[in-house]
Amino acid sequence: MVKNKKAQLKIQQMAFMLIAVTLFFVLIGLFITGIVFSGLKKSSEVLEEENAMLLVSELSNSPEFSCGEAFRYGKTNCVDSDKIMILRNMNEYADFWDVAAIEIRKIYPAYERETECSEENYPDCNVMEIYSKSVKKGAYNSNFVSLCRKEKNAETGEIYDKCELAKLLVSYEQK
Amino acid sequence: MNKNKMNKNKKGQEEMVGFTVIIILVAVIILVFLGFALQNRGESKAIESYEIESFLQSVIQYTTEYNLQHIYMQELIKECDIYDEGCTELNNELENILEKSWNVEEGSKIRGYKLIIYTKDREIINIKKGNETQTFRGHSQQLTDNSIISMEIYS
Repeated sequence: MVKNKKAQLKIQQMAFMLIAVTLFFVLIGLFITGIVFSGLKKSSEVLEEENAMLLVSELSNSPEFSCGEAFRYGKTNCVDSDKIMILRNMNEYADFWDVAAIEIRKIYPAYERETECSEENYPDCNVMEIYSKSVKKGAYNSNFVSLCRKEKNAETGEIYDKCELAKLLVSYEQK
Repeated sequence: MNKNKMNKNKKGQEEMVGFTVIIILVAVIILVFLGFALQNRGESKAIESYEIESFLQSVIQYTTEYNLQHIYMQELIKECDIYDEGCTELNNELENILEKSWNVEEGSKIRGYKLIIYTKDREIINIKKGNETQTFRGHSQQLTDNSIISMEIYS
């Protein structure tokens, strides 16, 4: 009887220890997995954003879009809006960029309503659709650019640089 | 004699159970503390953002009207920094640009933003909107020899 009780106590003790050890390792496992996965999620989000931004930046700094040396401060992320107006009508560029759509939207100064740019209303407009392929488009990636042009002062006749804040939007084909 | 031995065994077992319970409790407390410490350390650092970098570059290239002239924001910042002139115009223009560029209304991903232009000696511009949270992205860049523009977006 005494021996049985002793054995029961030992089993009980063993069970307690096993539960404690298992619980301990499960907690450690959960803790490590949590840290590892939260880091991975964050870095994947950052990488995804970086890639999208870099692709848009690459486009805005390409010779067809960029201001070059035409403007005093326009070096990076500067888009020449006069070039864009000409580029809109050039069918030769249709397959040049491996994207589904490219457009530029002025952010500031803000316009009351959306007005697409044409030869008649330029530069008093805020949406410039450069290229749009007739395919299923994915979500737009965008980045800030300064949209510059040369303008003539109506009173003095002086030519000055006019740069506005805009967003360059690029969409890729959804496969 | 037997009863004495049995009592001693029981006491030993009770002590062992108590010891295990204490170890588990301490382990759980350490894990919780460690978790909080690592989480805070990870979030307090701003993530470099290409979007904010592009925004700042585009903002300093923006042309505004000042004293009947069209000048770049970069020049207006210099004017404010060196001659202490045009600071109100600069502040108003930056506030309007930020308002139109970053939406901090309810339901938006962005909870707030902060834009500072400073030199070693003083703060030229300080614009804040919304709430400052622990999760943020940011970018700083040198404007002139001694002025820096810095921006943080809170989500």
